[in-house]
Amino acid sequence: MIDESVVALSRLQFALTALYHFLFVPLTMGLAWMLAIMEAVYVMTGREIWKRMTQFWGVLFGINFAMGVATGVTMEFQFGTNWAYYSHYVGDIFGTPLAIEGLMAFFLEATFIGLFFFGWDRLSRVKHLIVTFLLALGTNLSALWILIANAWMQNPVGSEFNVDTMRMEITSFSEVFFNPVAQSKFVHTVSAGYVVGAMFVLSISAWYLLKGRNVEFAKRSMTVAASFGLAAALSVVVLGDESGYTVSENQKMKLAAIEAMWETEPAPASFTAFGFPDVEQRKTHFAIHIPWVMGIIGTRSLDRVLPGIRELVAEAQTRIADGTKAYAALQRLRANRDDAEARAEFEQYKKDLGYALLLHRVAADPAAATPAQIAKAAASTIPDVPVLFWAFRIMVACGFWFIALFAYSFWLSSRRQLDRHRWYLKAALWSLPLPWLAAELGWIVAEYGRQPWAIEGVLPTALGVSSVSASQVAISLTGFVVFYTALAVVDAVLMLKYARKGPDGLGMWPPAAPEPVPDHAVIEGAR
Amino acid sequence: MDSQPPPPAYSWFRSRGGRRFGREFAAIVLLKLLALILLWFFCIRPLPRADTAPPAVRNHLLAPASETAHDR
Repeated sequence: MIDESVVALSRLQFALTALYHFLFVPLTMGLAWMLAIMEAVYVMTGREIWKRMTQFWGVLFGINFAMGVATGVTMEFQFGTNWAYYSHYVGDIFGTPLAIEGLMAFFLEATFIGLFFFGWDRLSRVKHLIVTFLLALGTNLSALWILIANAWMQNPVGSEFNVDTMRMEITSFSEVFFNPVAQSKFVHTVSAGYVVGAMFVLSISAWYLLKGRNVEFAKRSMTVAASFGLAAALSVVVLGDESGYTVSENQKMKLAAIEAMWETEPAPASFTAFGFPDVEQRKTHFAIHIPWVMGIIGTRSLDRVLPGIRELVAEAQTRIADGTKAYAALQRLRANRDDAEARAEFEQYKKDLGYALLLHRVAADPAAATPAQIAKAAASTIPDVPVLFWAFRIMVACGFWFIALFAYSFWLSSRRQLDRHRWYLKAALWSLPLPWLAAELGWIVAEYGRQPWAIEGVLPTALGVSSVSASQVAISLTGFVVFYTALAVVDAVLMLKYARKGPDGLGMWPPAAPEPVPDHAVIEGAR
Repeated sequence: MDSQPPPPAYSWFRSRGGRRFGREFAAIVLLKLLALILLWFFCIRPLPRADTAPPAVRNHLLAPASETAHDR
């Protein structure tokens, strides 16, 4: 049987490294655009303070970039060590966007971050602004290719199983690239990154105002953060809805688990705003339902039905039974490649081959699985409902809080009253960790909700692990935890050090010399 | 708008604080690369290389699970 401890440790290791890596990524994506906005204002107005703002937030961006860069490399280590069968089975498809990301986005980022820091005195204003825009573009392109790879795991299009090589192979790169899940995930993820960047600037600026330091600097920073953050927070919700819609199209079980929708409801289904999902009894206690909402969000219609968990398990049972036929035909085909009957049968049932592979966890020989074993494997297609239910709701609650906070910040900013209410400044300061929390929960919903699949409907997670022992995985996991903990400590110390020093402590603002009079202002009186 | 380059002492990154930040930035990247190399050397390199030859993969995916367990 499959060694469940190896599977669990490998999953834990990958989850920890991915979640840690994503602490840095969204701030890089969001802050890069904020730097570009601040510098654009500097170029247009010629006001020195906007340049100093770009440089100060650029310092914090640089620390985050330096600490975050290459933290994703350990995940690629794991593709080879812990997930060798996964890499072999789907590497043809999954490897392509990863390689493009390395070649295209990393080079773009690495080149332009150097020019951003060291080009201030060597490049003209406009050229430096272009560099900053290209830096922001590079960080976002990285996300695009990674999310194309990840989206293929959620919705494996443009590929098929090759009987001879025993692996999935790409059949249409354009289908992989234009995967609707990739497009919706990309815009949702980058806009979440923009919220992180905006909140970072808003919170630290609020702290300066609470301390009465760098007041003009902080007010301008908050103005940019408020407008950029409001647009981003609204986008996250709207684009998250699109992302949820693609889930309802391709990952019905994930959606049913997020909603703890145990039974199929008549259309349009209600949304469960609150409740306590009970996995044993397959019901949700103290549920508060909002009529119609889930049906409208999930199907964009009033008459399409969203299947419940019980119905989806029954459907999985049928697919597993069909998958065993593909599995048996494949075994015959491997023994005799000219067996036309086996090939015909395999072609008929090959779309369910992945479902038969679920039986590896419960049956000695999947081709000879009993109905009880098939039922058990079908039940294993239910992800962890309570975790998904709550992770999703906390993420959504954070999203609405961001809209409220940024909208209020925008209103205060437009009335030039950002420093009027201390409670508001404290709320802005203490909201600092929330965008990270929401982003991490979003990934938990996306990845934990896909279980038991590594590739939805194609490859169960348990079959992707390498032939390593649990102790070997534990050793590498320990090494990773030590490495990441050290990085986290250094990152926190440096961030706090530079944020506490602030523009005044770093000698950035007010400038030592009088501010030069701008000779190229195009926006009169821009602040 | 962009006819003249800025004067030399214009950038904070050329000040004492800026140079110190540059050194810290470079040190972080170098130390992290060193840590990654050490991590690879001690945690990744000793792990056995998975057999992904077609017969091994066939056994992994198609053989009865007990044989797969035996392979481990």
